[in-house]
Amino acid sequence: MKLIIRGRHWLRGYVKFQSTGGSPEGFLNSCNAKQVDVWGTICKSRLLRGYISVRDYKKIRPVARENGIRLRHIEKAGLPFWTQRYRYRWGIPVGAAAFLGLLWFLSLFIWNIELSAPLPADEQLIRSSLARAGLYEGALRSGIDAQQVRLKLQMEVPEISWASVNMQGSFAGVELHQTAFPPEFVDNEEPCNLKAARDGRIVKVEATAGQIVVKPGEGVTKGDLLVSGVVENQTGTTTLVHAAGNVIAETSRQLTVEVPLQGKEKKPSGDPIVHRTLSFFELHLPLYLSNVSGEYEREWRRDYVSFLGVRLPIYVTTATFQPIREEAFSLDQQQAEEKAQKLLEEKEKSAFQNMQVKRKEIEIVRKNNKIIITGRYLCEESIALCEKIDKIS
Amino acid sequence: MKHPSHKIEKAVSALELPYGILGGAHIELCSNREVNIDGCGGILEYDEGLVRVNASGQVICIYGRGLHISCLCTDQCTVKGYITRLEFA
Repeated sequence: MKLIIRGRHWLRGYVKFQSTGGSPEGFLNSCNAKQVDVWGTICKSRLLRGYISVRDYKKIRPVARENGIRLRHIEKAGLPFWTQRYRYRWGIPVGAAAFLGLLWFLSLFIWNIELSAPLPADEQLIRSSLARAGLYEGALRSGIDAQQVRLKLQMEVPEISWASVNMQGSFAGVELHQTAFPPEFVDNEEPCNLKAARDGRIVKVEATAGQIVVKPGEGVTKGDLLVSGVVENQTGTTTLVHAAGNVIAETSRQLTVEVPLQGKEKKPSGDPIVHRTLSFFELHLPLYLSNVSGEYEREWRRDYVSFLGVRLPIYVTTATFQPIREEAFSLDQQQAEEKAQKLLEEKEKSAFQNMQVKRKEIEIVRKNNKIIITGRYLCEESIALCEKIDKIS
Repeated sequence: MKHPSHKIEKAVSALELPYGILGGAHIELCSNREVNIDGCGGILEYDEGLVRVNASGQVICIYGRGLHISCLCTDQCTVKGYITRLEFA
């Protein structure tokens, strides 16, 4: 309350006065009678000091004379005096107007697009799709049709089943829902055979539908019939069925890795060169002078400026250029073999994911200044492959 | 015959209403630092050590150190400072 009263006094403007002689009590009583607000008075040895509003100060002159008081102002404060002091400083109102104008101008554009998490697709893909539909950071707000953006986004990104674009001032919120794709349709009614996907020796045959035509221990080549979809009935007629089952066979596989004993490889050389660019909407301001030449590896990072947790369209792109040069290297036999072994193990991990390795033979050969390591494997895997029966001949 | 003001006083007492509700001064003291007088009729004396206030037919004398009238409105005044004594004359 006190603060409000002080604020009101400041807005109206006030004067600190000092009165000498006469009767200070009479002066205060007269002011009170004329409903003149006097506050913060101190009376010391008949010397009265206090505060009074500017408008009332003019009114109390005759009152002071009536009470034989000499009135003098010792301080002036408040908005009227402040504006009076700065009345010739045109820069202040002009600056304020320019600030408001700039604020209005910037509010015409989209400053931030917020995508709801979790994202159904790659963020970059969604943002580029939104940009094609007209919604991007820096786009004019009036030119955005939220309904059109929503429809175009749904059409362009199949992973999005439903989207909504909510415009809140200069911020656009995009709510996204992921599409639930139906599982792949398997037609169990469609007649088909099970055929061998690769050469091998049958270990186990299990058929849930169809007629088994191979036995364990038999050798098959790629394309051989394993389980037939043509089933002969007791009456001598044939029925076409969807053959299904699991056929496990022993197959042989081979992996090769080559490691040169001598050669050239690319290695980083020297200190990396960092280039920073300050970007505001589509305006990019380079903060570097040097150029990059020769061969290099580039890494880049983008750091957005945030204000109160809101990402602004102001960002610094940091590109790091690491110069590289070719350097000759030479390995001895043991080093090359160790390297080859490691590479082969990595290859095995990715190649034999859905099968069991029964036997493994490794052969190491040095040829043409290279270490060639060859792995031969005996594996057990499912070789059954469904093949549709097209026509009944 | 009793004076009518006695009857009023009796009625106010019977109703347990605060004295001074029918024209008297209402005085509020905050510790010994501030006194609010509601029903102030004017300032009779004003100095750092003594403030005399006319309040509904009686004079209230406020003694102390560094006394000052922080607010003076139509019928209300606030005296602040280090109050040592309050007297009614």
